Amino acid sequence: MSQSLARISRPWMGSALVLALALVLPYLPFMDRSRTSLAVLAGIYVMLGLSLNLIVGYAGLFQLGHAAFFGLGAYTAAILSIEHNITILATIPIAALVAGGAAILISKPILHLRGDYLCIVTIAFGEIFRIGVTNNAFGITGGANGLFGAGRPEFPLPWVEPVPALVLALVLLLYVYLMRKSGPVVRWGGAGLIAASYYLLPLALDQKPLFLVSIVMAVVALVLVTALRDHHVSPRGQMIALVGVVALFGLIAAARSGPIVTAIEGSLDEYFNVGAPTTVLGVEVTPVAFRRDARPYYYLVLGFILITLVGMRRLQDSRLGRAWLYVREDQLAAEAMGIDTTQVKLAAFAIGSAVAGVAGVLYAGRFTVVAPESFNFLQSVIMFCIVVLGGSGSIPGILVGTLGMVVLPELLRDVGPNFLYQGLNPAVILALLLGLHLYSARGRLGGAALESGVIAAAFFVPPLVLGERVLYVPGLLMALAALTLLPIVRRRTGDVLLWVGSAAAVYAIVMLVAGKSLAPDLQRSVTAFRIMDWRDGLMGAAMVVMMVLRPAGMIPERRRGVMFSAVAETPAPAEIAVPQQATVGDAQ
Amino acid sequence: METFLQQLINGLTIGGFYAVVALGYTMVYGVLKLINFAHGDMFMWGTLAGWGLLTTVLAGLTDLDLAAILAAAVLVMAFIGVMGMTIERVAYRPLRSAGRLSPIISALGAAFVLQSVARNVSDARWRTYPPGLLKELPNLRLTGSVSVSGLQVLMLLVCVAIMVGLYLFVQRTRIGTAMRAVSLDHNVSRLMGINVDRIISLVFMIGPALGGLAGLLIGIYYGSFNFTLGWVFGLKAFIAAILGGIGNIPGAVLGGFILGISETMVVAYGPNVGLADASAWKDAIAYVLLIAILIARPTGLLGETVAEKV
Amino acid sequence: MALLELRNVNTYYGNIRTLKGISLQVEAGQIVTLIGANGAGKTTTLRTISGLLRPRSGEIIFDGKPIHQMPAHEIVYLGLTQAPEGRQIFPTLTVQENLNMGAYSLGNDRARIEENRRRVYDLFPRLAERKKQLGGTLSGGEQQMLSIGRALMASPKLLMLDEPSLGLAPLLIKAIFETIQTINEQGVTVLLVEQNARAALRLADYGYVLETGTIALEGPASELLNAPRVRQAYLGEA
Repeated sequence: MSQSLARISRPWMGSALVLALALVLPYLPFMDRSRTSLAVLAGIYVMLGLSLNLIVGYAGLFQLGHAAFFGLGAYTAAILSIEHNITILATIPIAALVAGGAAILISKPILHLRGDYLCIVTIAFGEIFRIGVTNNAFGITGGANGLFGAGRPEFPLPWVEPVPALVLALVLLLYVYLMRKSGPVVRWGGAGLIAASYYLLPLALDQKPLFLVSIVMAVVALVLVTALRDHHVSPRGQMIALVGVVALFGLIAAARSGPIVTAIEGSLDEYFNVGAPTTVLGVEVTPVAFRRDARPYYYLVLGFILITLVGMRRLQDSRLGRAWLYVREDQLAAEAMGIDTTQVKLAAFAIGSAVAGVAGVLYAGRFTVVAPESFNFLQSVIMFCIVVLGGSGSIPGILVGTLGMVVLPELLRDVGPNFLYQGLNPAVILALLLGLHLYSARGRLGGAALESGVIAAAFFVPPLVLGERVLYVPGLLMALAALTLLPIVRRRTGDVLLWVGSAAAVYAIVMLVAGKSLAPDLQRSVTAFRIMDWRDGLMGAAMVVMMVLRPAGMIPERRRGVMFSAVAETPAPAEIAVPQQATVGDAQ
Repeated sequence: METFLQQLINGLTIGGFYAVVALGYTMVYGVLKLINFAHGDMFMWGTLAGWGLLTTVLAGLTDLDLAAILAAAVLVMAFIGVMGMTIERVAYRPLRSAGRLSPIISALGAAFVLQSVARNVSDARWRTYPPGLLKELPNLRLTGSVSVSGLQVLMLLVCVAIMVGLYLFVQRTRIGTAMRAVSLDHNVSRLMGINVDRIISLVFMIGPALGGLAGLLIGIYYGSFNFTLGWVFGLKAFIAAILGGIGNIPGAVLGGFILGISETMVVAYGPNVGLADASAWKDAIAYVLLIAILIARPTGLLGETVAEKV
Repeated sequence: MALLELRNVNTYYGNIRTLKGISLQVEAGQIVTLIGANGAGKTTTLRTISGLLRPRSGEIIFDGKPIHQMPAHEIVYLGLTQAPEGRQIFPTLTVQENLNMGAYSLGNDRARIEENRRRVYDLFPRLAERKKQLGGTLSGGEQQMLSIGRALMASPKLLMLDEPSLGLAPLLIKAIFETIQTINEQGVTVLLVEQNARAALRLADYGYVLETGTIALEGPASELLNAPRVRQAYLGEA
């Protein structure tokens, strides 16, 4: 009982942990300005990963030109913002429409193509887009240099009427919709409670900035009640919780309204530019604009990610979501069940591309420069890898994929080879490697420990004896090579220790003899080494290694759907010598 | 008329290169149903290795043009052939039963590695072949005032020889027939006593070796190159293979020539029909052609003549 | 000693045990048949013997050599070939090329290949008429002939046939079974997998009945033909 409970709660706890981390991330001590900016970029890529996951992971279609739709969104936003002076967040619907519409137009004639053909055609579309914007198609894309000066997002001051009323109305509509299966007390009573307390309280206290808090609290209440309902808490329990939250909010707001309002106004001044009020459609609006500080923007992106995530979850559980699953697993069977596979695939392409378009707007709003090289094939590959490396169809996989494909390469930029022999770093790195070795050799701890000792000795002796720290670099490479080759050696001969021992001894002796004279040259080439020159190669090597080690991705999706579980589980590739191959050039 | 003939020869020459590189894609696709994204970069490595040989080890031989080039050709083919086999062993064989997505990533990864190493080996600069290689070939006069460069004719002849040779090898020999058998069905081929792994290795040796040779030739033909050559050229060659109908050799040849000629013609005559900056859009031609042909004939031009009811 | 012997062979698809401790013997010179319903594991047995599947445990001895760890293509060189289920000829290779692939294991021994080819064309004159035609254009019966002929091209000691009667007209089935008899008389041992139990048992010397991955019954074919259990379950008699 307790075990099954643990199994149920663990994914939920994992999500909660990740969310909590995401919420505090910009305020963690190691987050300087550039890293926060990187976090924003990573967030945009998470959104791109989620959108591509819809196409590749859910519907099982190849799409190696996703950057084009990202780019369409970004260019749409930039052009509208620069040429027509439209605030950039307002371009989101248009950009989504453009990207999704383009996806429909483009993919309609090609969706019937077989996997690999589809793959190459999407590459072709991506390249046509890139060539198009580079050549300044229609004279509006700014050519190879791209477009400059897309506006940073603006929004109206959140506590000037009618913004709070509108937001609250939206929350209430959503609440009433989501609770449509609940009784009238929870449904209408709850809505009334949220509306009355959250809307009336700031007015009663005459502290309009409190609207900001009440909007947040209204959303919290909404999430709380739906979560309680989904966990089968009784309507009475739901109401009690709601009343409790409302009361708590009321108490806090009433008691501490002054400091809260000061804090809100203060941070608004700190993070945003508050513009002069203008009149739009007869209503006075005070625009607030994002500044260069990436932190508020980070939360904006995070919000969009959460919205996308919720949307995806709901899509996945919808009729369309099930249709995608069928199409992915067995197109013929899906057709036999009466699913219009073309429509279903088209929907995946359109929705996925529209979300990519939104990500494009966020990109344009943050970086204000939109240029062709941000949307080239490499970007498409990165997005594809984010989805597949992490585990196609798996949402945690996308996070891992983004960390690996976007964040890590950027962080590597700061790491020179000097890093390898500064301070205690060599010891730490070696300890990590050996720890991994010991961990993977749990069955024969004694032997692994001996091997580790030999490797560590060869690693430490030459630099320590000669006093040349740079010798740690070849030592590290040697250790890495030894640990990679060990399993192969073990398979061929039983006497691993002899091999490792003699190799390590030879290495150590050579280094001790020649190390002193090698050191200056080594120092020079190590200093000249720039990791960014090798970034693509390292990334490529990582892609190969990852796929060979974990063909299904880091965190594979748990297969859903009873109908196809047999398909997913029975054939065991390991014992069938080779998969059945199709005919050369076989017609569909 | 004169320019037309000249452009036709240009197109045929480029098309010949496309076709030879396309052969490698099409053979690999035949036996593994895999887009070998690393193939274009192996082709570029052929250019790079050829440059390396002709400017260092074989530099002394450049007076004897042909001897130097022949020596370089043999070495480049051996080198790239081994490279191809190694990549298959390391990046593709472990994924043979791993579904469709992982091999694509692995192939792209292999391509990135090749490109990155090439970038660092060549210092990310444009590199030039020794001047004067084969430049003394006389121009050949066709009718009247029209003449074509001997170098182009030679290149075209070599490419055609490669294609014909490969075609005969695959059609007429025991090993070639075994390749076709493997491309139809791995398991049944095993039941015939065919060592499927070895045949695949062979395919991964022959295809890249020919691609590497094409790389060397294109280096001599254009005179200069950089490490990004492989990706775009390779992608276009793959498109050529699809245009013709992937998995069959005549298709790859046909696709290569169609692509080469279309590119040359559009760039040459585009301005006459209102495409002022046709050359800037040159790279898009292949993609537009691909989409147009796949919409019309989803299995490529020669796809259906080969496909049989099973 | 038997030409082929399986000792307690277990084969799995993933975690599903398809063959549960199969033991059987094929004596040289005989026709041995393996009958059973759909999904009983007949094809799995053949695929395990020919090396396309690897048994998780048990031994397979062919001609005195253990072959259960051998790759499929090497087993062919020992003289064990198979005409697989559903014929599986190479559709875009000509009839002659199909036969040549059957003789792949003979290498470049042209004389022997020529001799075998003549033998196959004698058995199946129709194939000789169509030798330049693509395999995929043949009729079902012709494809079956090609499949058997192809398996004979390697001069096998043991020929395994997987449901040669599948999808063929009764007259053709009769002809094919007669040919199997002829092949056997020429000195080739035959392991015949069939759903058509009556025809198979009439032809065979010895028979095994496979049910859900285990040998349910075995014996001389004539005895099996009369065994009540076989009559009831496989010969459609009450």
